[in-house]
Amino acid sequence: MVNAVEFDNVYKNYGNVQVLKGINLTVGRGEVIVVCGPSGSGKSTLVRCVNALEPFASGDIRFFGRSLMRRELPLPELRKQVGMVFQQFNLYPHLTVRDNITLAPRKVRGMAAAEANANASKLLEQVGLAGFETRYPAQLSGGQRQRVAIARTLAMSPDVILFDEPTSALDPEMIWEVLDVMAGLARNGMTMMVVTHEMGFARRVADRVVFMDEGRIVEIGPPEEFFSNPKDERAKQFLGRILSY
Amino acid sequence: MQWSIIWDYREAMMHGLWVTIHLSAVGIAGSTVLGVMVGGLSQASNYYVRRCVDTYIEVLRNIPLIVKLFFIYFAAGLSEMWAAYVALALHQSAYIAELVVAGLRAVPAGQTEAAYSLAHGRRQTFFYVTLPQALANVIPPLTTQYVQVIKNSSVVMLISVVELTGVTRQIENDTFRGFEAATSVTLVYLALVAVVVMAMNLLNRSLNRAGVRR
Amino acid sequence: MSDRINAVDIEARQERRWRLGLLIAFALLCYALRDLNWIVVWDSAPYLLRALGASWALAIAAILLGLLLAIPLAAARVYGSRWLSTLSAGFVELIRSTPELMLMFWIFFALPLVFGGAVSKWWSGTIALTLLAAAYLAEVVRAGLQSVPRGQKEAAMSTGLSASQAFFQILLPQAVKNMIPAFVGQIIMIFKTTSLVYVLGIVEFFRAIVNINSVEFASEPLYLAAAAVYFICCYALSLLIRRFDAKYVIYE
Repeated sequence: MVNAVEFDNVYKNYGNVQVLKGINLTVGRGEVIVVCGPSGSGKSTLVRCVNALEPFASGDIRFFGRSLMRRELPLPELRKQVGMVFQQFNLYPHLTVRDNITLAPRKVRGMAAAEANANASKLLEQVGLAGFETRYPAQLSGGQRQRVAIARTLAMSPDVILFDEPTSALDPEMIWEVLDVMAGLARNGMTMMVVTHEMGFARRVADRVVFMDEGRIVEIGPPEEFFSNPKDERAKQFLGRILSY
Repeated sequence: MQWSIIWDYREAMMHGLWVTIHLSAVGIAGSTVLGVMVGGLSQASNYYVRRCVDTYIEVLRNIPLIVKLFFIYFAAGLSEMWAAYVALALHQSAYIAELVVAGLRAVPAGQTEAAYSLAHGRRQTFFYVTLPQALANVIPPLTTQYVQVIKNSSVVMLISVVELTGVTRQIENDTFRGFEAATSVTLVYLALVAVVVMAMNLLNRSLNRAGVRR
Repeated sequence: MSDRINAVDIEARQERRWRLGLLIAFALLCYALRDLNWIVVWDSAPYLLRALGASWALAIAAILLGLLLAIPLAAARVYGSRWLSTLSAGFVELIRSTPELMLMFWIFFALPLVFGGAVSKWWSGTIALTLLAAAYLAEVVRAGLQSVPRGQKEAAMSTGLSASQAFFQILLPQAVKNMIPAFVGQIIMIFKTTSLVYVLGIVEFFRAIVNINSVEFASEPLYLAAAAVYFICCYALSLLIRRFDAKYVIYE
């Protein structure tokens, strides 16, 4: 059974700064990985390498066995199979909710409009926003926008979804509605890599938690182990600060 | 002052107004199409294409309209109307291209990132995501450019196209009532400009209501 | 090793290649146009240069006089009562919405009525350009004044300075620095507009070109030379702006 994503000794620079220093990580099919750590640790960069929004300098990332470094998978194909949900939602403000969701299926996959629209309505129901088809993003709350963003990603039927701090830009009372949808996706067997500070979510939904510091994976393990018994000093400090407040 | 003269020349003025309107319309349409095309090229991946865009804008902007008009009419030899259309459209297209370049640059990077991660290629991202937002952002300065086209249409009188300003000169030649003629024609121009500005403001407001512009 | 440094190198090399390409294209253009009657341009050069000087003189006069008008106009708009402010805004909008050529005609016809007799075309042209400059510069000064933090005016007034002292010694100087790019942009614009006083018969650069053409019938070289001269003057000035403010976009 080939792994969904494999990082093999990946290094990446921004100018003179090494952002990723020898990352080794495998994500199995259907696994939910939560990536956490202090800011600047490289967590966002890590997931952005998977759908090639960021290039990496050396090492390799394999997606279902196909190497990205050796270009065994053309970018458009890769991006059809990997979805991404952003901290800033990045919904298209000039399109309705329905058009936001159906643009990619229609233009990239060539789906007929009727089918795409029907699909969109189903997805909106799934994220709890039935009937929102004709609204514009500007009319939605933050939590609603992020759920539309998730529906937009699901519309392309990806095999893996990357989440880059999906709730960090939300007011506290809207965080649960997005995490709920994400938990639902996990339950249905979606492979997910989630960068987040929401430890409750990590504890309940993650299969493994990855702790990063200064470009390296410092600690990795199932949530029970990670939260109750972290081995690394820095991980202990981080948890201490996050959990005790 | 004899204002009744203006009434006598109302037919000539109507005709002149018609020519002005239709010159302006062609100028506005032509310069917008050209300007958006050239401005859009500023997003090309090829460095040299992008520099061509800069050159186009710089060259056309720094040469006065009248020089371009006379060159196209006298040296290149197009007919009066075609020289007028080409000169008006070319001239304003440089300014509009620059606007479009700025508008495109102002679209947040997250938009293109979202489009790429949904497997859209460069071309699809440009046409469906970046360009619509850039154009919506650029409507106010675009209005100023359209007003400029209307004002510039008066220059074509110098190659014997009888639009509103040409009519003014005609009236002055016939009746020596230049002041009355100039005042009335100026009022007509002001009205024309006001109509265009109001229409663009309506467009802007309806886009704002849909939340298209942040 | 580092991706960023490579990108800068590549761009520098592409820029060098681009400039070389431009030079070659220009050389090719010169070669293609070699058969045109350039002697006419060469022979009339003294006349043309004098006329160019006249264009610049007109432009500078209009800018300086226009600035004198623009400052009170802007002050009225930003600091004046609602009445004064609306009046100033109305005047500026009026000038900015009227075609430049129309404005010249209107001034040309109106001045004799005001002064009760014929007025020289130079005066008509200068006044028309001055009014134009005043209207556009009023907007530049207004933007500059509005860029000064509000607290400055209150601070100035509360330390006992009179309104005009506050304006000239505190507010205007601070506004000036922000205004420089836009101001130079307006100089470029007025200089280009001097080509329109052609219609009043004033012999500035463009009229000079047309006059020579009506005698010698060498329209291609003459108009190309005119285009080149305007381009060089305006582009040089715009480079000056970029030295002050790399991101400034000129809309004139």
